[in-house]
Amino acid sequence: MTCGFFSKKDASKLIAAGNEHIHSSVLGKSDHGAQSTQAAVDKGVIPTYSWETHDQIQRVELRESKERHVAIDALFANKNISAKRETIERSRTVLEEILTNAIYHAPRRADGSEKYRRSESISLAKDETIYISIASEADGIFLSVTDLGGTLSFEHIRESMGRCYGESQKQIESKESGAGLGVYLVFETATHVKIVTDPGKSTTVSVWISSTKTFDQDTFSFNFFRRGPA
Amino acid sequence: MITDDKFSFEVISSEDRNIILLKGIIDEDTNFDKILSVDSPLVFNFKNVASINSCGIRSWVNFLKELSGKEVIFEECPPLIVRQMNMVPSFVGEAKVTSIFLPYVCDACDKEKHVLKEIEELQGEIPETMDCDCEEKGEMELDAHPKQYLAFLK
Repeated sequence: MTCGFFSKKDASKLIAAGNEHIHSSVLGKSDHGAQSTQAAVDKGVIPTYSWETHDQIQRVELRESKERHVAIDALFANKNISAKRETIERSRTVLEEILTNAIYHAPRRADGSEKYRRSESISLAKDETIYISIASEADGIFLSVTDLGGTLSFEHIRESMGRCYGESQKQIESKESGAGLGVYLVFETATHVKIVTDPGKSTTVSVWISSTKTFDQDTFSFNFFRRGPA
Repeated sequence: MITDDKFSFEVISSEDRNIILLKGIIDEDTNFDKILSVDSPLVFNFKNVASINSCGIRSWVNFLKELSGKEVIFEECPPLIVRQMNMVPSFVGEAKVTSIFLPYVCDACDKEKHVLKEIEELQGEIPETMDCDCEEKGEMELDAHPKQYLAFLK
């Protein structure tokens, strides 16, 4: 685990170099999240951070790609989701990227190739259903997306970070989907990112988006955990 | 007007420029090719863009490259577009940004307001507060980071 107080660009270099756990805060190793991560890593378990626990979490399922915008609209229109417009817009950006990634990149064929293309409007099979959770607090919004593919790898995150922060012009010019710009937007916009993958079974991407008032670009965390045998 | 399910644009021509009003969602399905034949100067008005994702950003950046050599202006950019301009510098490329919306929130009445400002008028600085017209006579605060919000100007 790497603790410190640095920019997201610096953190991206650490992730690209192979660091799966990054915490940036003025508190350094005294930061509560960093301590939770260290304790969990030492015990070989996956921590639950304070930003993941909420009294009222809204949950929805998604199987139709063309309904994702409607689903996102409905989630943020829910009376239990209360936040300022700017925080909601930032959260929508993050949710759309995570969701799109789950829809198009999680389902795979037996040979490991991606089953769907982004240009297609698709209906996911029942065992490809995507589960979305959302909750809001006075100081931010919690989002979580689970797919049943379990195909998101740390290697993909590393490559995306390296491309987007290191060679941004080259990255943006790519005509291909899945080139990592979505990962970059999520990392830039969210305060905390936690990815838990169970290879071949599921991937859950959870994020905390601080309200604009409490948002501090240099206070953030990134954690990648995998279940099952190392 | 050119339209698909989620996105449309309309060209308003005047003597000295063509204003392209963009509307809706910019994503993997958005095709800007029909704008390529419009003569410059091209003024893109983003006021009615509802959302943009990473595929939309990529399409836009690649489209902007096709406009290389033409005079391109961005006007009435809402916060969601300003955020992209700050995160992805090539989203602006060589275009000139003439006006943006600033987001404000009143702590007294909770009212939210987007205020249009000319870039020249701002002179590199954003007013962090403004009076609210609510009964409580509250003060509206900028719902963004003043330094980061204008990062695209550097």
